[in-house]
Amino acid sequence: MTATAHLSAPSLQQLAPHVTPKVRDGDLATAQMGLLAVGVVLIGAAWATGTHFYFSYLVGYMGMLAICLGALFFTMLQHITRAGWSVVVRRLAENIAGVLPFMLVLFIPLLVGFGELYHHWAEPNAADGVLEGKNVWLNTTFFFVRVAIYFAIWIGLVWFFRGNSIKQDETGDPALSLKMARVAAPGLLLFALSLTFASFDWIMSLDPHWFSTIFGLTYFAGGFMGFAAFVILLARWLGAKGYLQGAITTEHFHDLGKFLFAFMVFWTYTNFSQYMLIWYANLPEETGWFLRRAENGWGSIGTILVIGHFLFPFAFLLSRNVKRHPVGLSIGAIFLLVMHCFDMQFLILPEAGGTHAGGHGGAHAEHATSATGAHAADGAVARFTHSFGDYLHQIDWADFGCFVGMMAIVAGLTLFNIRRTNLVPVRDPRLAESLHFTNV
Amino acid sequence: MASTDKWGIVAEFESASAIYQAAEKTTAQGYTRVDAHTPFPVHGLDKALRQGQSHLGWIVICCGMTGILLAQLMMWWMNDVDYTMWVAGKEPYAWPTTIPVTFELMVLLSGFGAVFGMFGLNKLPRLNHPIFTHKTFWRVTDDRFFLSIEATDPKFDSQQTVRFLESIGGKNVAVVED
Repeated sequence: MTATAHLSAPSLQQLAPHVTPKVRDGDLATAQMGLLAVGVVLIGAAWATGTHFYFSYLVGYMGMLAICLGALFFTMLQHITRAGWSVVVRRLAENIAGVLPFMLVLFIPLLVGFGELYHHWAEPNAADGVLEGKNVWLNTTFFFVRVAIYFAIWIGLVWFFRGNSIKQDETGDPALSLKMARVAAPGLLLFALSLTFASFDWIMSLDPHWFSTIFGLTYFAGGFMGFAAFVILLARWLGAKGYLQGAITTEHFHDLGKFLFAFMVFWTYTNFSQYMLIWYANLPEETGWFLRRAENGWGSIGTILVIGHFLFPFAFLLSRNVKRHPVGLSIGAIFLLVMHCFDMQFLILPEAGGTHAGGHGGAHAEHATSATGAHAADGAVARFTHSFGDYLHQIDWADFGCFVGMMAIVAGLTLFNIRRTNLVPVRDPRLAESLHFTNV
Repeated sequence: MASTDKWGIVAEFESASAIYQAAEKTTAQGYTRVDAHTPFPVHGLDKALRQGQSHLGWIVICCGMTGILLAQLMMWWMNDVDYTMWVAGKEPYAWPTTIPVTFELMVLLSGFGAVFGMFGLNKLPRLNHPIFTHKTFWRVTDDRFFLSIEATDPKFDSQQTVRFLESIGGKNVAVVED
């Protein structure tokens, strides 16, 4: 290097020589290819055998999109707050967010299934005045334009934040950190709007009559929690492979555990806010959505979400000892990823009813008789079991298969990104602070 | 045996790293009732002082649970028992309506538990403390760091402890009267 007068941050090599900065050549390639293969096979099998494939695919796609967007949010959040603790974790988040350009390609099946998913508003009943009024927003052309806008925003933000962070690996220029902190503010604004409207377009419009202004926030809260769980498991796995040891410590896992806990609670907070207002006002145009989620076994999934997405993990993850325990935190993370899958099913699948009702006509008839009161006298457990039986009756293996498959693909693509960059921002000005970070 | 009229011994240090090392040496020597007084938080000092985890969390969770219980009891009694009122066809004691109040009361009592629990554990409020009689202790809010060993420490000895604190670099080492 020539002796210029510009500032330059110390490197990982100087600060922590024992930490491997990069995945060794060829290492983790098997895992990457294996994950991608598993993902493609699962989704392929779901496509071949699924009873409502496009809905199953939407469950997996929206579940993992939320996690990738959570990673993008995390990156910008660290910049706008100029956070020191998170520098060693940030590159993982950047590389998960770096899957977003691939998510554009993975969106193609949804374009193919567009007619099946969104026919309620794409080909509305002429007598439906409500949808006629909503036609300004919910029309096919504008829908596709918006898909382009959302992805342009997300890919642009990923390109900027991941790109500049990688550039800083070379130059160590602190000015890049300041630049990213400045862009993070408008970036977060664009992010909030695009995520909100994307969730309106791709999930909420499955029932085009229904509306909830908090819907985008509930989707984001669950997604960011999913991201925290995903990055915890990713960092643990890389640790087991011998990477990032001495960089990401118990202290950082503790903080990621706090994020996991906090956004699990935030998900509950937003969902309850949505539920209580609708339940209280009791307006037919709003309650229909929840009514459909009380029938056909979806009530049992609602119960599972209340317990599994809030009560149990709240008690389990509350203690700092659990958040600082490697196995304890991983169990919490895996458990909440399963709940994230149920959450996506709960949002999406009850709307799939019309497309495959033929095969399950018997189940509906049985449900109608059972709802008349024969079961009202049963205990809560018996009612739950009966409802869960209904759920199993209409659920397809692909509703889980696509979620797992999509997660494998996203994990594989994340590894693809990880193998091409440094594991941490090696010359971030706050790297030293992050390496020495401790919780009080 | 320490006499009852002594509170402890106080030593002055000039930097954060000096007090950190002094704390490590003191606890390594076997002293247990040791505390540090600094103008700003020094990272890792708790560990050097070998201080255990605070019990405040247990106080907070007990207060929080009390809040939940109290809120539920209150609403059940008021809405369902004492003055039953049906509003908009909802059950008088319907669980969704109780959540906001339950949440708020839990937060309120947890907050009280945290603040007043902290006061209690620190034996606050009090008007004075023997350590203030140390002649340079006023600089603790400015540019000096102090280490104290209390007379109740089993290893405490008014002469040896003074010598020990001087040997690890303490200045103005003085016995503080209770």
